[in-house]
Amino acid sequence: VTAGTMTRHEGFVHGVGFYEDDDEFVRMFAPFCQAGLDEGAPTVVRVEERRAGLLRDHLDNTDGVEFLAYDDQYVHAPGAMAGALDLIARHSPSGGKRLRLLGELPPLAGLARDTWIRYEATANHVLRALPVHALCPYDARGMSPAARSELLRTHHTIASPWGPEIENAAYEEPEQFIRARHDGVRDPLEADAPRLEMLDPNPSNTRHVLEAVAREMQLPPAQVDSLLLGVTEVLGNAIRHGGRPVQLRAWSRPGRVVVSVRDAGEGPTDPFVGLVPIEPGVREGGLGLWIAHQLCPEIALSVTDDGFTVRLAVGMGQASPS
Amino acid sequence: MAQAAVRTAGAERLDHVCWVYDDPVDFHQRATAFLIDGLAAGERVEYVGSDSFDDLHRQLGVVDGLDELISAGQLVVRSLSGIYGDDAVVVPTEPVAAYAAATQAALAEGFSGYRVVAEATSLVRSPEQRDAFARYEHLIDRYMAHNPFSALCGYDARILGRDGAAHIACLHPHANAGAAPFHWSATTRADVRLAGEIDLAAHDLFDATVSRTIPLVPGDDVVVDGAGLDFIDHRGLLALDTHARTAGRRVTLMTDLSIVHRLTEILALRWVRTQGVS
Repeated sequence: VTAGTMTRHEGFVHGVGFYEDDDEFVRMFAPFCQAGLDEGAPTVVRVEERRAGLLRDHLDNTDGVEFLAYDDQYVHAPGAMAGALDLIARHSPSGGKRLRLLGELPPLAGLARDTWIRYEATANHVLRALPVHALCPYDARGMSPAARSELLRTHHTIASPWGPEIENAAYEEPEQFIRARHDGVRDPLEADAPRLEMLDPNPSNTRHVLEAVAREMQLPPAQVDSLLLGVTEVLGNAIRHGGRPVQLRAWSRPGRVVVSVRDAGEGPTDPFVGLVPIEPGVREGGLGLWIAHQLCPEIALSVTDDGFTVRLAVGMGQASPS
Repeated sequence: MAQAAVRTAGAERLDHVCWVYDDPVDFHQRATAFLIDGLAAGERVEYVGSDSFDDLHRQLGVVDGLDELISAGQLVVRSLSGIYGDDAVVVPTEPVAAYAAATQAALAEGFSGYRVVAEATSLVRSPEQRDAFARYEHLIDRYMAHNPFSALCGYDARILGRDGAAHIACLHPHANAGAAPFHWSATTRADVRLAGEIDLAAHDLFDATVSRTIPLVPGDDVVVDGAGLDFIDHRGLLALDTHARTAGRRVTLMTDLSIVHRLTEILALRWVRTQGVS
């Protein structure tokens, strides 16, 4: 670790690395873990199983590295944030050594790009004072320029296969970054005419109509339930906070349903809404979106001149490239 | 009540029915039919309403031998007109005690039970009246679930508004279509039965209903039979949790909706837990 890179940051250091093949992956991220071992710092790796194997093969010894199971099928952003906080709390009193965390997030495909980019920015806010150096590996193959640009704007440093991480001049403060994004991502299904379009719908009717669509698309019952509750929570927010007209649209294909809810408001005042853990007993303030993020892990928020839109998708997530 | 007492989802009780009407003639016909069924079953029946005695009497015109039944004491017609002032607030326990006594008397005199049609619009017009009357409806519903007493309660939507009438309708195990988004009623299978849907359209109603009635449920542990529950969102569950805490009750919500178990977990509720029905 070079002095010029790290001394600036007292708390959270958040790095990103774009790799294109196994060789780059190892050259970029094995040294990060090795440095942790050399320093005697707690070092945790949570990457996809095969890539974890690549790292194991290239480290002197892996006794000092904690490898965590990785499963991107069931992960949602609020859970990932709570997990990160737990992990940091667990390693906190480590003799002043900064925790090193190599953590892979789900692919930035479909609406999930919006969810996980907001997660990356929100981590900069939530973890800012904590003694952690996190590094996020991303497969650059097929990644859109927009996704790459957003990753650069949400990380303090960039890893390279040739040397230490370097300071990233493109970094933006998280609140400013999220507010500046305004228009979010679209699901590819939205290119087609919507299957369903309702103006100022009532939640009960909406559930019945959506349930029929979801069943016809053969979504498993748990996903149908998650979608219906997620949409009800979002629709409730739209009617209570955003105001009419509220427009609901849905698109579908076998195994997947996408729903968008747009209201006439300017969106939530808290840019990190839905992602920051909420303590038990809290009754107000972002609960609906926090729940929706857990039920429908692919969720996108956008503010445009037309109003505030939440998009939710269930089924066959991350099947299409961003 | 022991949690094991909740058995499979059964039919709702039909001994306490709410009818929210726009057309009084239609309501009078239903009222008459309900009383005739009771007479046929050997029950003592009562027709009580805000109209004058003569009007109430006229509304029962199609009942065979009406005056003989009245003289014989099998049919009681009672007018509330002049008995209560316009803004009279019921003391919830008083009519329950009166109806329990009437039921016991009817049984003692050889009738098979006691049956009432009550047109009680005049008693639920103001928020204060509605608040007290809602408590009464829940208490009488608890009495009805265990005793040979039944009632058809009529409320005039033209006076109360649909939303106002829903505050009372939801406390009946059964009401006409659209009268209430959910039902919170007594049952022999648990402490309370909850059926229907609780979302944005019902938040205020559910909040008020649980707040009014959960303190009336005996025992610290309240088992809610949610077999007929079709939907509840986070605000509904939080309302249940809040009022359970305030009333010092621990609620077990029995439901097979896996999403409700998930939601309870996400919210880390302290006073409400969920359990499967089957």
